[in-house]
Amino acid sequence: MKIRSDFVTNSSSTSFVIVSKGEFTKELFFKLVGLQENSPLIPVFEKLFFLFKEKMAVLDNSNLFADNVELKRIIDESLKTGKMVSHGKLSSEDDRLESFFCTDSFEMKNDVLYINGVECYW
Amino acid sequence: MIEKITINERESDYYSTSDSKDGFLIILPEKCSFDDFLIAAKVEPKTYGSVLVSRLYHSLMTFSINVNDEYCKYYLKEYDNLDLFLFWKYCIPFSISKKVLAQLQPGEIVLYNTFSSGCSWTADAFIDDPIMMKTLTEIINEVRRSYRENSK
Repeated sequence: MKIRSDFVTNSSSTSFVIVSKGEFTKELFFKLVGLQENSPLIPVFEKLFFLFKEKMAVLDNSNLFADNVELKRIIDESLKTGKMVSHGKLSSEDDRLESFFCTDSFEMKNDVLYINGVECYW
Repeated sequence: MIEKITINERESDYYSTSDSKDGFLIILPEKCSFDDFLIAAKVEPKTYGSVLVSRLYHSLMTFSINVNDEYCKYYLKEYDNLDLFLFWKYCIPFSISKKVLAQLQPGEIVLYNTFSSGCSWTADAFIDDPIMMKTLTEIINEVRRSYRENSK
């Protein structure tokens, strides 16, 4: 048996993709998540929204997601139809809220917005 | 009402000071449903928000111990009151149990859970992060307020 006595790190990152018709706004995001007016969950998703905004970068092709056939198809179709496609990464190294959503797996969509945070690597 | 239990108050940047008995005490109406949580959280059904609330509800209600029930069924003769029981059975400091029990209303129960046994990652995160904890507290307070209104 081997015993490791020094630090063991266990970090993770979630790659997310956001597809939107027009600008990705807080209002669209809250509607997608299903928040009603004065929902106590607003501060939680407001912070997640700003994390997305801070960490997202414009994507102009689907090469990064060549392994994920379904996501690649969605990105290709979205780019063809002129939708805005962005991607980025959440980290488990920062605060607890970001760590939680980083390690969670989610996919949300409605008529104007699609968010894919399914891929999570520990 | 939700109160976090931290057995070891010391903090260290180099090693974990968490204890296997670290967890939380929570007061909820005895007959509290998922729909009550959903209404209190003000989220639409079948959305990611509702999935999150569902996970939160089930991790609080399913994996926690109803300590009122346990005390009344098995320990009533052994301990004079609930805070003594919580201290000797679960090592919950009196400062925490007294604070929680003072808030207990008729028709409500006290639930206890530890982060090391059966507490889901969702509940753990909601209790550990200050923003998420504020949200959870608001949901619980609204569930309790609504229960009291409806039982008048």
